Amino acid sequence: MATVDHAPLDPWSALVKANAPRMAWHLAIYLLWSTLFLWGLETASGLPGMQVGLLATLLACIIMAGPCVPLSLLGWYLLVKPRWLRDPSLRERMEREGMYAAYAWWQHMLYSEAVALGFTLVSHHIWLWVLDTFGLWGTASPNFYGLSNSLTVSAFGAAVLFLGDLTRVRQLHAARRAETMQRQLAEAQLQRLQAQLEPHMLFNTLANLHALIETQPARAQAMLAHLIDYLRATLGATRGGTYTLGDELRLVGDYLALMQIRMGERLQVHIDVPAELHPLPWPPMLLQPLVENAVLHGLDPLPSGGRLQLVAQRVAASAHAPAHLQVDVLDDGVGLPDGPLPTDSFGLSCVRERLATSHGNAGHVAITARTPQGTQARITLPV
Amino acid sequence: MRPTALIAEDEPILAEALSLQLQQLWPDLQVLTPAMDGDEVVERALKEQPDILFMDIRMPGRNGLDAAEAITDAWPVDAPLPLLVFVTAYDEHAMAAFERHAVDYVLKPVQTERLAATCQRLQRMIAQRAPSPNAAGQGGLVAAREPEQASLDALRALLEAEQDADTDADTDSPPAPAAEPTRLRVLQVAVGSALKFVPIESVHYFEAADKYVRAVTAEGRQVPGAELLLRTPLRELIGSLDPEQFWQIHRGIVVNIAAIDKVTRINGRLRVHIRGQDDTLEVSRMFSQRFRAM
Repeated sequence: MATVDHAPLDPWSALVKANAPRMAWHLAIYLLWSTLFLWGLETASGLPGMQVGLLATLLACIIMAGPCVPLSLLGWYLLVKPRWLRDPSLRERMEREGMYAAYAWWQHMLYSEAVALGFTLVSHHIWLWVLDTFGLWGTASPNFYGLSNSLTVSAFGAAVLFLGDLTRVRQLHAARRAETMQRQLAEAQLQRLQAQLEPHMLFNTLANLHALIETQPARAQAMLAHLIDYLRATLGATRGGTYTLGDELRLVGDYLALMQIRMGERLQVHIDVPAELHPLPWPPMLLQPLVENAVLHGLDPLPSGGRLQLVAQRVAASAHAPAHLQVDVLDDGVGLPDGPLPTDSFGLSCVRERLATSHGNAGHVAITARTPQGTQARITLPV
Repeated sequence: MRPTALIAEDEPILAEALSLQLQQLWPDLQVLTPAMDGDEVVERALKEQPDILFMDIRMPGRNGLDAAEAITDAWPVDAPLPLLVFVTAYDEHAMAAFERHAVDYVLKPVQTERLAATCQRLQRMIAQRAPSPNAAGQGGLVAAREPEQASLDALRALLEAEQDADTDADTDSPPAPAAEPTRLRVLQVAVGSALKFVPIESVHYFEAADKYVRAVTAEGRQVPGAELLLRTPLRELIGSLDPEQFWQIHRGIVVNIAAIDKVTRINGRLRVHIRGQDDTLEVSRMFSQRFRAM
């Protein structure tokens, strides 16, 4: 999916400024943790002449551990920046999943450990020099500040902080994604509802019912049942439970049944979706707008109408793509208009947006022309 | 002779229902098999010449308004135009236009009482025009009957309203206030690699052709290949022409009246003769009312 960048890219803001507040918290927690840890060790050792005092311990931690956090952020920035500038899909992924989307989580963890340990190796000796120069040793034994102690504190601190932050970032973005999906779904529902209550559709459907009640009451009842199911399904699509491809097919089926009564022989419908695909999860109302487009913009303008096909299949993994679910909406109608596709007027941007939220880069929708005539809309989802 | 009615409706159930309702309300009316799209209704109406047309607005092929115009233009000159009733489920622009121009219309679902009132009005109109079925050809060049002229005016106004609605929808902006449009004085037309300047008075007529509008001048006629083709759509061009100077005589033709030599009736149809040219231009029935002797 192409990304349009309106603003010039600014890696410093996106990568550093955006993460700085969280990193400042890291720093505070790191210092607190290492100070208390070391001071606790000193106190707990209980040996007379081991204490250097709380303030001196804090100073030790600031010197030995403090720069770790900003340094690791800076190093990470320098590592990620070239990729971030080059790769729009990485930008999109990080936008969606946060800073840890740049590499695998264990790579991030190795990196923070490496920074923490490497820095401690250097700062440990600086601290010893400070103790010597300013005579801060007090009654403590020089052995207490062994390199292994310093490294242990760093390694622990870095691991705890990293894992804590990873969890938080993931939770944060999962919540944000759920929120976005909820909002988009609500928008889609509103759009759908407006489309159904679009006076022309509603009054024409009612006019058909009005006509059928007198002449063919049984058919009128069947039509009314489809209308009720259709309205109910649209309104209830978000309420609890998992939404499946089968649910979507029922919704689409009710819509097509209504249109078939209205258009008569001008609308032929052929649905080919294997039963084993019905229980697969499906983003609500992703197929419906595509089917509606095919009927209203593809087939209805043709005096002779035409055929709408709905074909779903599971495609096995290949050299080009991993295994995925592929759903095609095919019509042999008037085809695409000349020039660029007016995406907004056909509700396509909404479909794209929701697909990106629910499946990221793994979900696609593509509209193409068919030969000799007609349009194909293809949704691809990972399974 | 029993009056006949043709229904244009693309939804079969609605077409059948309207047909049934009409037969119940007006047993004497002969309801023809409904036409299912805009192109079919034009063809069938011209062939079967019904007295009444019930016209759906949104149809496959061309829409109801365009079909009505095509029927009017191609209608035999010596026969009275069919009475038009528009049928629509919901169409904001069209309904407002119907109200404004007092055009008969019914809403879907079609209510029996409303349709009964429409039928009574239609019966009255058919009774009125029955005594003088062949008034054409009398009273000068233009012999449109009064009620017929009114319905032609209404149809023309509807088509204009539809175009305005289209334009509004295209630009997606509120309709511009009725500011005085800037009048074109000179056409700037690309001819080959040159940009030709053509004074507007020298244009004999504009003719819509596919994606272009052809401007025909005396000079252009004599030099083959030097056609003046404009990319501006005719309807946009009309807005910037002086309506007193340039008359629309057909959906696709606007004539400079200074270039008109005379208007004659050939086979019952008005034709405009351009000064210094052999060929003539047909005046559509919709626009014939302006050609009257002083």
